[in-house]
Amino acid sequence: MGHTWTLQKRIFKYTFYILITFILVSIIFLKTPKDMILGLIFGTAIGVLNFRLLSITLEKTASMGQRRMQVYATSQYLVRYIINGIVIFVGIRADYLNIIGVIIGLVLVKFVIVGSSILNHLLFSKNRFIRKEER
Amino acid sequence: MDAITGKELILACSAIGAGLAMIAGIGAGIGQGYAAGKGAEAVGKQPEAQGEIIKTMLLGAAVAETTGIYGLIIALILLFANPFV
Repeated sequence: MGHTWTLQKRIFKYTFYILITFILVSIIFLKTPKDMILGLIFGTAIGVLNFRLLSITLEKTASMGQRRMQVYATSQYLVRYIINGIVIFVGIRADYLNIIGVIIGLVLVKFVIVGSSILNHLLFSKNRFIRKEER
Repeated sequence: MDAITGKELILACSAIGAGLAMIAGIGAGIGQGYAAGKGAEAVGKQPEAQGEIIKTMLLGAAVAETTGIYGLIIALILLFANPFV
């Protein structure tokens, strides 16, 4: 499955947990949560698949030359960009999907990555001044 | 010649705004290609660290893509779900 499969699994797991949290919050606080839930699920599914596509691209390009890799990575980025565009367009046009939910779902994977980095940094900063014997 | 109504002016400005918002995608694309090229160079210099290099590149590329998506969202909302009309 490549070098990054463990990392991907971890990110997918956290994304799923946060998706469940968002769904529960929308059920509690919104009057008509169905559109929001459908939008969240749709956006998250495409976001996760896009992330998987990105990882496949990067693993594939590791064996290429620098120049070829730049062209390949940029062309694959355009493919993902178009997919994102189609998803957002469908989210805007479809009445049964909430566009805010679709957008949150699309960037949920990125939130997880940034959030886990911040959390790791905070935990590292907290534990840095604790002596080994006190841990 | 007919005078331009307020709604038409807003629609025209929205189309220009959507075009300007799409510029955000260019930077992310160039940046990602450049980062991937540098990643290939790093793997060439240090092949034993390939796994770590790809992991770091994956996270960086995923986050870099976000700004492009934001621009795309603004452009599509201005075109198809304009809040000003």
